[in-house]
Formats: sequence, structure tokens, C-alpha cells
Amino acid sequence: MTSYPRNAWYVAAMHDELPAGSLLARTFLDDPVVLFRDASGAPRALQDRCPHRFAPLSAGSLCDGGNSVQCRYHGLQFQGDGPCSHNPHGPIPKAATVRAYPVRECARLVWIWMGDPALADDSRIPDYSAVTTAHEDATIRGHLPTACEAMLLVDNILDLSHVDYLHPTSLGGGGLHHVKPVVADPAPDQMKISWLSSGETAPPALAMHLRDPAAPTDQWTEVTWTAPTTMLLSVGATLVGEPREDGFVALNLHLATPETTGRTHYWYWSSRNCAIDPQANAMIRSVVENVFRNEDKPMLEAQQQRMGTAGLWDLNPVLLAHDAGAVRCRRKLEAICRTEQAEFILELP
Amino acid sequence: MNNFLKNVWYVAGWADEVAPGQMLARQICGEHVVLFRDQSGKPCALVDRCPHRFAPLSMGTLCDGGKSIQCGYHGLRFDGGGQCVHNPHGDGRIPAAAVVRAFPVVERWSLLWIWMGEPAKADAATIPSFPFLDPDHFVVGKDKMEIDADYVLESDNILDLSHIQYLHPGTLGSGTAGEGRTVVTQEGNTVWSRRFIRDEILPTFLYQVLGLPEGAPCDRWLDVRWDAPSLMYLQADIGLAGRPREESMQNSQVHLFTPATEGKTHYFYGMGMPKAIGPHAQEIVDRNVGGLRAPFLHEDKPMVEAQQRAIGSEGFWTLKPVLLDVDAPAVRARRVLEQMLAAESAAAGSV
Repeated sequence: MTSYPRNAWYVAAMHDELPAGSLLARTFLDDPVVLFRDASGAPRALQDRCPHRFAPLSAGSLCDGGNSVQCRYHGLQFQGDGPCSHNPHGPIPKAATVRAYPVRECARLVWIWMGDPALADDSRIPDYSAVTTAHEDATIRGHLPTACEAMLLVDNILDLSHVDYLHPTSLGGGGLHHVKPVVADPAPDQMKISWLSSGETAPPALAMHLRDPAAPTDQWTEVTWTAPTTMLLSVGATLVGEPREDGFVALNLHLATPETTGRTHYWYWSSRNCAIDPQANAMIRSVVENVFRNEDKPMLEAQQQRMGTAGLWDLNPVLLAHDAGAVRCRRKLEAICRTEQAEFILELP
Repeated sequence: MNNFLKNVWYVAGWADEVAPGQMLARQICGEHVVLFRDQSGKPCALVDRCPHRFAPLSMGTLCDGGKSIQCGYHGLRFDGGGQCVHNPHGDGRIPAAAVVRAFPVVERWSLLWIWMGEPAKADAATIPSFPFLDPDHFVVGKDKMEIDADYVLESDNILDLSHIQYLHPGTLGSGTAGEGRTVVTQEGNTVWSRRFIRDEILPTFLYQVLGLPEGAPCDRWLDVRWDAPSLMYLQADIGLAGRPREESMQNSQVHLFTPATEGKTHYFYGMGMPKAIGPHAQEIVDRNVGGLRAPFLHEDKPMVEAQQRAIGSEGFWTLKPVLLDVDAPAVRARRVLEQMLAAESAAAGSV
């Protein structure tokens, strides 16, 4: 099985998956977590296990407008930062504290830090606001838990040559993925893979949004992976030599967070600069969600089933030329995990 | 590593389960296998896992009438021998490692036989003989069932037919079916259990199926031949009491068990009748095989699965089973299987 770093920001929820007054139970990196909003509306995350008799706090209720969560079993109350604030049966024992995880809400995404809270660095949260603040009628998003480990999902997005085979009637058939991809390292925790072409007319779905649908275009498909498991995919076409934003631009977030061994939370969040219209959006949503739910998800889950609990390298996969980008991402992630492990060992007395 | 015999023929399925142009995904001895027919109609079996990103090949498509199977994820194609024959990406070069394991498969006796061990040792001549399933001369009735139990519990079941008195009182058994005598013999690795029951009053169901006068005392012969891993031929003959066996209603059946994985078993059963009987032969075998489904599904399957749950992950012998006379054939078959497994693991260890 693949390892994932704990000292990293992971997506925990879309902003509206966590309405005020509710308790949301989710597992991240094998830790059961309960998410809620405090009285100020800020998201909070606690280990979802009362330290008394280990009942899930998510089965309890919020008190004081969210300033504490009350265990359903014996009524202990805990603040959003972890300490017990009320024991209806007597004095508060010292040990009555729940582990609190750092959480941040940035541009409508809720992020959680699963490692050492002292190392949680807000500047490391990727800025995806260009996607998440786009117009509602040009937005398609959802949460799609998938029974595969997160890196299979990363492989899927980083290697778009699969679209001709897995999505032949929707996303496949374009010429771009026969172009040799360019792989770049923009940062130590990032990889960027680009498929670029110039001079061809755009496929009809894109061309209809251009000033001159029959004119030659610059086309791009670019994926930027940021460790550990989030990706921004930009797809578009513009008339040759013109700025990208004058053409058709679709920005697609693919956000994965490991849940347990072999299970992943997956969010997709797409926006575009054209066809900003509720009807067009509904039509595009039905195509896109069909692809994600009925083509990618069954394939990823079947892949995981065939792999069992083995890691990708344990099974000696055949490597094709276009796997280079995805393989380098895995290598980077492995290096990050090794560093984290080494630091952890150094800290031990 | 599972503990299944490798160098032996297993039943992969009934031959007509794999129609031209179709793929059949089936787990056999813990391996995920995809079966299909090549353009000549010859059955092929590959590991059902693309060596690139491990997608199941059975989610892909057959190309050129079965000449190759194309992975549904990235389009690599493999021929029936497991060799990658097409890489649609980049310069199209085929990596040397792009090979899927292929299993020897033979179509015989209306069945597909698969060899899970070393291909060089696969000798079709060692497939046990079931001439009454030869589709050229016999009409064959067939069915299958999935059982949540170890396959050896199933050979125990067929090799000890004294159970029909207790487990199948209203269908296959009778009040005296358990009183028969059993003789066990062994020829090489083949075990025979021969059972004779005299003067039996049969359940109504059997009189109806056989067309014998209801209530007439009958003699019954139940002969079972077992071959590893769990392949049984059952000759079940019933005739009027005191008459010679040649005059009985004769019924040739197979009960074939293939482990899917630990604790899960594919069960293939069927029977054949000579085509010479005439146009009604198919109807007769279908009715007979159909009649077996209810007792197998509602009586044997729940009992064998409950047995497995009660045994849990314990070994059969570690629970120290009480042994009765009637267990002799099943115990003999277990011993042969254990010897074959021991020989195979000793041979593997000496390499």
C-alpha cells in the first residue's frame, strides 16, 4: 500500500458540506474525525472518539452554538480545540481532552492537517480560488468516495491517454493526447504535465465558444499535481497567438484525500469561462458526472480489487512512455514520506 | 500463497458459458482469470489483470473476432497467448514486460479445463474421462452454483451419499437410504465409492422423475469415482427390487468442484443421455438436472456452508472429526489429495 504524509493539508470538505449546527463524521488517513463549525462559523475538527468510553462524538450534539460538542453517551462536552469543558458528573479529569486537528477554510474548501499541529503552515494550502469562486452556473462539483487508494486516482488524472479507451463517447477522440506530453517540476512538491498543440482547429465542443470556430487554435491540456493528492487540470483552446482567457478555458479540480486503506474521498470541482447558463450547466454536468461515476469509478475500483493490498511497485507494472509524469509524482510523494519518517525517527529520544 | 493443487486440471466452466465474442471473468484457485475464444474458436485463459495499471482485462473488449483482448483503461492489446500485440501510445513500441500470464485450456466433455500449474506439465490425456458428456454423441444437461465453502467439503458430500436419508428425505433420499453398504477402492490416485441399497421405498419425487410405479420397492446403486482435485462421476441407477442392474434406470452424472478462493467454490453438475434415445433426450436431461437444483440449493448448499462456518478457519483434521464407516471413501480421497499436495510442495521446495 502507498504511504501518505501526515504533515500535509488535505481536503476535508466543500464549504457547504459543513453547514453550521451539524456534525460531519469522516475518516482521513485512518483517523475518524468529526467536523463542525464553532460559534464564529470557523470549521473545527476533533478525533471522533470520546476519551471516556470511546463513543463517537459525531453521534452527540453541538452546544452553545458550536462552541462545544457533547458526547451522546455520558454527556461530557469538548471545545473545538479539544479540552473537556463540562463534566455533568463532577470535576473535569485532566486527561479528558480530545485530539484536535488544525482546519482552515480557504476559498470554499475546508482543509485539514493530519500531522503535528505545530508544523501546520497556512502558506502551504494550494490556492484554488480561481475554480472555487467561479459562477454557480459554470460550476460542477461533487463528493464521490471511491474504493481505491488515492494514487490510483492521481494516476488517472495524470495520464489522460486513457480517455480514448475509457471515455470513447464523451471525452475521448481528440487528437491532443497523441501529442507527447511535456513534464515539468514547478516546485519540489509539484509536477506539471502539459499536452500542447498549435495550428489545429478546436473540437466542436470547444470551437463553438471561440470567436471564429473554424480558425486555427492553440490548445492545451495541463495538469498540475500538488503533493500529496490534489490536482488542477486546465483544458482549453484559443485562437493562435491570443491570450488563453480570450478563448475557452475549463479549470477542473480533482481533490483526493485518503480515507482508509484502499478507500479515498474524491471531490471534483470544475468551472469554465463560457456557457455560463443553468441549462448548459445541467447538460454538461450530466455528461461529466456520468464519466466520473460510471466509467472512471468502476475502473479504479476494479483496478484496486485486482491489486489487493499490494502497492503498485510490488506488482512490477509495465511502464509505458506516457507514464513518466505519474511515475515522477509517485517518486516525489515517496520522497516526502521518507523525509517525514526520517524526521520522526530523529525526534524519538 | 494459497494451498491449492497446481498441476492438475480444474473445470473453468461449461464450454457454452464462453460464447464467441464474449469474455467470462472467473476466479479460480485465487487467481482472477478471463476466458474467451480466439478467432478460431479455441478457448483462451489469461490472468484478468493488465500488467500496465492492473485493470481487469474483462472490462475491456475483444478485437478482431477474438484475436486479441483490449484493456478498457489504456487500450493495450494481448493475444490469447498473453503477449501484448498492440500499444497505441507514443511510438507504439511494445515493452518486453508487457505479457499477461496465459493458462493452458482444453475444451473436452462439454467443459473447459484449465491448468493452473506449470504449462509444460499440462497433459490433456490426464483429464478424467466423462464420455457421457461428449456433445457429439450425448445430450448434456448442465447447471452450476456458487458455494461459500471449501471444495473438499463438497467432495465429502458426494463421496458419502448416506447423507441423502437425512438431508434429502423428501427428494433424493428415503427412510432406508442410509442403510446401504459402501465399498471403497483405489486405483492409482482415483478413488471409487460403491454403494448398494436394497429394497428401498423411494420418495414420491424419485418415482415421478424416473417413471417407476409409485411405492414399488427398489434397489439402488450409487457409484462415485473421485479424481483430484474434486472431480466426481456419479453413476446412480435405480431399478425394481431384485432385478439385475442392467434393467435399472441408469443415470450418469458429474459433480465437479473448482475452488474460487479459500472458502468459495464453483459447483458444476450435469448429466448426459445418448442422442440415440431420440428427440426427447434433451427434455429428459433438462428435467432431471432441473429437478436436482432444489435439493442442491435448499438442502446441500445451506448445510455445507453452515459446516464451513462452524469449522471456521480451523483445519478439518485439527478439529478431530469422528469417523464413521460411511466416511471411508471421503477420507481416502482427502488422503490422496493431501499426498498430492505434499508431493507438489516437496517438488517446489527442491527446485
